Amino acid sequence: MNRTLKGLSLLAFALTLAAAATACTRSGPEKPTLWVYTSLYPEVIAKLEPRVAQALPDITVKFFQGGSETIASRVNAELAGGKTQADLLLTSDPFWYQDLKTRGALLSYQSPAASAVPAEWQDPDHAFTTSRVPVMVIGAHEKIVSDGDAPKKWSDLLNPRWKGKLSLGSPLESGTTFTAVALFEKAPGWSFVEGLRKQDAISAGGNSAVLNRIESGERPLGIVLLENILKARQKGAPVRAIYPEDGVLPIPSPIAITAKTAHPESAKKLYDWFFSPEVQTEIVASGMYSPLPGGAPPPGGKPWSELAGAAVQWNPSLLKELVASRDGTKSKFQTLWLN
Amino acid sequence: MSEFFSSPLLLDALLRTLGIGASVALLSGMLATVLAWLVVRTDIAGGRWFERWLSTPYSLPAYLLALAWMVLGNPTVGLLKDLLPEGGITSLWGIVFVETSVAFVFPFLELCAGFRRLDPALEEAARLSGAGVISILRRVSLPLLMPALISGMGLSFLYAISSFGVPALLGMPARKLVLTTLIYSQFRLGGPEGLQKGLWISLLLLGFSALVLASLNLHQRRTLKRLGKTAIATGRASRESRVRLGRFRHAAALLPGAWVTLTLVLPWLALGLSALAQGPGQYHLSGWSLAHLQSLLAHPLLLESLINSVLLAASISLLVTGLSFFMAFKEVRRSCKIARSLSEMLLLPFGTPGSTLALLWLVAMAFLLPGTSVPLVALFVTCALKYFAVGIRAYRTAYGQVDPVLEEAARLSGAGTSALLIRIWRPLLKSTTASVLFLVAMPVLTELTMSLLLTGPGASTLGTLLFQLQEYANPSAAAALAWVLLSLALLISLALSARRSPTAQENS
Repeated sequence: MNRTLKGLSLLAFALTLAAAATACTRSGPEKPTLWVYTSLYPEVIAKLEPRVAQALPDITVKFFQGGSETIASRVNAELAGGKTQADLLLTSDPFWYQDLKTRGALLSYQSPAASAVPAEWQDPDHAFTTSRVPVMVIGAHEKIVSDGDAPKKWSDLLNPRWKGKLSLGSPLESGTTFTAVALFEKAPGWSFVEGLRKQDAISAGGNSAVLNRIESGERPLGIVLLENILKARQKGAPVRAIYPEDGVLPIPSPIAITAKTAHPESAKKLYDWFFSPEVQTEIVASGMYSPLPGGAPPPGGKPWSELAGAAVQWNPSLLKELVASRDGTKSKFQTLWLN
Repeated sequence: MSEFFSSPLLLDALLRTLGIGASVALLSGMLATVLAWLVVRTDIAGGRWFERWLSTPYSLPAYLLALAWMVLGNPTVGLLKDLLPEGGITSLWGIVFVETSVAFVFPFLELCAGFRRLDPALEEAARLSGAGVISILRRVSLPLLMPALISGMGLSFLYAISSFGVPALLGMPARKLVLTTLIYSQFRLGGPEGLQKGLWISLLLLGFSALVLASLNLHQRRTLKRLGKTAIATGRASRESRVRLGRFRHAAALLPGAWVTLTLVLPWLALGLSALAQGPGQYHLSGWSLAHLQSLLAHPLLLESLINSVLLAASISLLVTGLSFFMAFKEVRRSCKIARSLSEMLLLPFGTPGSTLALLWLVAMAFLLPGTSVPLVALFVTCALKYFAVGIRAYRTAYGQVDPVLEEAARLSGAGTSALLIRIWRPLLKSTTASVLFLVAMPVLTELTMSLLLTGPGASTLGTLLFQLQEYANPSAAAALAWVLLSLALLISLALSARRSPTAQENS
């Protein structure tokens, strides 16, 4: 057993070294390799991989999948070292893209494929464009929160009957939760966030943690992404989405090309491809809305036309304003929540 | 930035981190002393089995134990919530308890190896002079084993202050931040300034680790010097003597039994329940099925993750064991200054959070070799760096405590360094080697924080698969994977303890 273990370990070591050597000595690539850092769901990437090889045969595409915040940490670290390996970024935190743009880390590109995306979801200088739109709603446990009782608006969450029943992600950990808190600060105002604290809401983890707390009944109401609820319902979980009358919170999730990409032309082709019907259909199937007008809603979700009227309206100046007040919002939240 | 560093938030997190670290180290030390003595030095019922089982929690990442305990001890819906103090498992004592169930293994394994190295003639002499069992333990065995105990407790402390998964899962919902969770939030949402702040807080943590390590080393050296004349193991064949507990043989087994129940049996049941039940909180028997286990087995990344994790764990544990076996030899037996400074430096990464190590690696690679990242190599290097401390500390203690009489005899007969290491020290330190291999391989097998940042195409690991299932696909399938891993660890323990424990062969 000892000998087998040793043999196996030596083999492992040799293989690792061989992999390193291959990677380092690889001769000049015949076709460009592009790295896409994305928070798209792993199952969506699994479906896109063979299709991109078919659609763009002259490019090799590699995906690094991770949560938006993990990707932001990784890219920030790589940029601190001088250059990121990523050629394309597709994550869900719009504020970070504004940051990257200000630091000159993004390549400006006016994609013809994205021309139909509404102006409020595009950067005026074309440094990034919204490629998908997840939305934040109220999630509820079907059996514990009956239809009649259920909150209709965001402000209903502050009803004393829901004290100790609420949860949200942590705006210090999850980008979508931070966006929600920043938007709440604009309307209905900071007093709403203070109200959530008084309701003894749990704020921790990301959206999957919120869903877990709803599903287990620990906190039967939560501020959560629609896609989490839709997917859980498909699997038979007793949860449902409530679309607040005062507007769902869309999170315009950008796509961008990095400034120092070695293959800008190929990167632009790949950028365009993400707006093609085959990609947008997969994105919608995973529970989000397409930024292109007239698209179908995600399976089990309401059509965008029903939500658009009340939904929070984004525009470049709101984005800039929220980026400017970002640190302030976070420290205000920390002070409120941790004391 | 200066505002941030003078904020009560940071001070609060710092004090909490140190408090948790100290409590985990103390609790681990006390438990390890009693339990290691019971299973190695007495004829307690089932001693051999307990030794395996008590160290098994270490083969699971602590965040999985935390997940399991959330099912049991959640203050609102936990199955055992009524039996726990207010706040359930999501309180400071909950964090300390879950961390201890893993960190306790460091002093435990060092003490088990130590008790075996201990020359029974010393205890025998004390007994013949009329000393009782407790008095022998207190006045003979423990002072001799102090270096092993302190070294193990030191590792427990460092483990606790640099651990992230448990305080994130149990502490965040209760609004209790520690340094690692503070660093995490800075890295994730702080932008470029957050990267800097995160690295500065890491440096603070590193400072504490360095301070602890330096004082541990000082203590280790002083004690070894003091004990130099009374080397505690001779390497010569001697009869193992065990304290006879008589009619208390079975009653004494209640203590290790209770600890095994808390750290293994209950988490195993909780994970099993989550894996079989329809979903979180829906534990009714009518909804039980194997669907989550089936979806896990059908997962396209399962095989890739398994192969990568096993290869990484095997290669890293072998590398760390081999290197620290050699370096500690140079340092302790040859008083080589280069080896000492090198190994002292290599101790630091153990007290550094995984995310900091991974980000430093990314910064360095982007600076030195941009665009050539090979995820498995990155994981190999960072994990090896992180766990090197485990090997170097264990071998240091071991080399310092074995009577070099055999080495001297071999040297006089003309043996060179490699012959000495292979023919003399390798068999003498068999039990230390076994424990180092185990202590390094297991956390690498399920490593999460560094893997999440460094993974890439073809480099999925069991840790990233677990996270992916938990976060995106199916938390119940994640529970199923955790359950399978824990069950495997238990089966291996069972199989190993059915044979004669290989770590019990030292001195024979």
